[in-house]
Amino acid sequence: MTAVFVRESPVAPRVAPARALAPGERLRRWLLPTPAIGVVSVLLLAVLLVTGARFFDWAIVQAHWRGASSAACPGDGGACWSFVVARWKPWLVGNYPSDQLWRPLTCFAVFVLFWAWVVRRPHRASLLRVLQGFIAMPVAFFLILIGGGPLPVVVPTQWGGLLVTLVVTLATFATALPLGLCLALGRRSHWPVVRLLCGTFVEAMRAVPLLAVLFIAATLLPLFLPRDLAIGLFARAATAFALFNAAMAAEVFRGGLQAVGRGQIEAATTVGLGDFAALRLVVLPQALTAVVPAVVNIMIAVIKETTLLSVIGVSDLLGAIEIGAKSPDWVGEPNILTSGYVFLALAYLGVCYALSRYSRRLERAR
Amino acid sequence: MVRRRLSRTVLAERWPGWVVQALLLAVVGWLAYRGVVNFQANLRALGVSAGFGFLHTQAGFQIAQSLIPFGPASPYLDAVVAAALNTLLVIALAGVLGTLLALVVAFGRLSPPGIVRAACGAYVETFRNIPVLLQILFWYASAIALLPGVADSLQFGGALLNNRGLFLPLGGDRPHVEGFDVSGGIAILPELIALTLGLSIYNSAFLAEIFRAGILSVPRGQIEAATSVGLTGVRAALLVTLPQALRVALPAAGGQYQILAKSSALAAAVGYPDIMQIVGGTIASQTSQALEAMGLVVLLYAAINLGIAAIVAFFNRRLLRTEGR
Repeated sequence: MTAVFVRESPVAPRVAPARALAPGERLRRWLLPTPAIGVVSVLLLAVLLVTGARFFDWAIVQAHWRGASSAACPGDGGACWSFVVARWKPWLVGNYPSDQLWRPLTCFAVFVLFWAWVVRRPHRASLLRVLQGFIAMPVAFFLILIGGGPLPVVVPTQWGGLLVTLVVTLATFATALPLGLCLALGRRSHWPVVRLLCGTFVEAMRAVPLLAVLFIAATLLPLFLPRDLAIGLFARAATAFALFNAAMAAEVFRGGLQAVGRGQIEAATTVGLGDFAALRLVVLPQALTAVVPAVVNIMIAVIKETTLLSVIGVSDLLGAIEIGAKSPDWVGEPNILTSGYVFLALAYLGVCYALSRYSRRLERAR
Repeated sequence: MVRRRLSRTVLAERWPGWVVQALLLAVVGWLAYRGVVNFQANLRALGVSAGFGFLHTQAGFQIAQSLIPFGPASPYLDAVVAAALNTLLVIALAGVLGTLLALVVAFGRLSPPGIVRAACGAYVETFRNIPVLLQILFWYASAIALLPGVADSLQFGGALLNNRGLFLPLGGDRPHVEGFDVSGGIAILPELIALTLGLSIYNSAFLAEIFRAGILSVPRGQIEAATSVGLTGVRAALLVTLPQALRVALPAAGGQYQILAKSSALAAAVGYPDIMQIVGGTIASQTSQALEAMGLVVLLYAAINLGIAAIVAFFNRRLLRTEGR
């Protein structure tokens, strides 16, 4: 008989093994993984430190924070944040009448609250609700901002700055996304006329720069309208913007629709669903959830493209900065304009980076 | 789909589609007709002629940078050609510079975790998320602000650098200051420098991600197999990784080059004499023939886009022939 040994008490737990890397080793690996990369790293670090120090000096140490005119920022040693701070109203709302400021501020607040609700993804923030919100918001904002009836009318030529950027961006989402979906469905239609019209429109818009489309809307479109029908520049520019982005969205949706396998449509037909019902109940839900990250990328592109409006004369954030730098109060040192650009760059960087992180989160969660 | 003869049953079930399509064509046709009628009426009221005859009349303006001989007495057609060449020049410069930057940054992002990888990641995120127009205007403002005036031009070699541009000697023709201007030599406008820098840096951020995705799509086994036959380092990267990475990256990169070509239209925002600025801006306002001018703009940009697509398709076909699958 073989001997069997049974312990009567538990084994004492052993100490965890020592870390494989010595404390300095981890830093060395990060700094100098290989000799070649190490050399580049050290050089890069030196360049970054020098540039960073100079930027810090320009932006913080020698910067001017107070003041209401270019006299506050003499010379070109430091950033002119007084320019940014003193003109907060034109940045936010342009020439909107000061006594009616509660209207644009309400719009901003509603937008921020809606976005906070969407990002936290509570149980009720289904895709449909989000889409409905994105369509209802610009309509409501337009009504509040333009006025008429009990509210005094404020024409869009008086709007400017962040207000214009926000309104055009939301209006583009609300029109370009549904229209893009229709165009994408039209390109897959059985009817040759519909396929031809949708395909021609999308390919034409994709071959031409957005700036050219805006130029056409600004200079050429009035010639095609009857003499007595004059549509303002803002409306024309916003329409052209929306049509262009509808073509871009159409391509994204086309990819999503193609990603839904033929078997889905065949199975839907098998259980007796007609064309439209199959589309609504089977194809679209799958297609739309597949393209949500790409649609968020379109949103990011739209936000960046709104800067082009300043080139044709619709004053958005970039336009407000340029107008401000040329105004009698602030004309002078080139530093002032550069400070405005840096502020704007940081703002766009913040917003677009946050949106791109959100898009990546959506992609991972799918 | 099986083609069926036009029997009564086919007619019975398909006539609604044909009616709708006929109605659609009628609506589009009516809108086009009303548009043309309005257009002709508006042109008559403005006293503007139509047609492309203006192309042979004298331009009457000067172009700051022209690769062909051009003066105020040259016809508008020459102005269109000069503008198109300027556009192609900036697209080529920005494309080459952007691709080089993108390759460097892509390899940087693929290096082991460290400063290089973090810095390249920050580069991509920063320059992707700032609007391209803002970047171009920033470079333009810096170039104008930091460079000295004509009187205090920087001199090195035979070249002159001031806020009117970079003037390089051409053969025996050395640039020299004459009054308030510089004559002689070749002028590189600050607008061109700003446009090239802005476009190349912006697109390099996107291209870096495209190249990185291409390189990551090559299975690790390929590099391991290469090492097992003695191919390592740069040779393995060139002979094994790059062709397979290009197969994935080339279509996407082609799309990005098309975006680059269309973004070059932003030259109108800094005053660089390209198609948008000269044909869509100067010619359209001087001749008041906005339709012909914008039509030319649309045709030229569509042609450039098609050209880029054709070049990319050619290289794609060659790549697929050797790489198979």
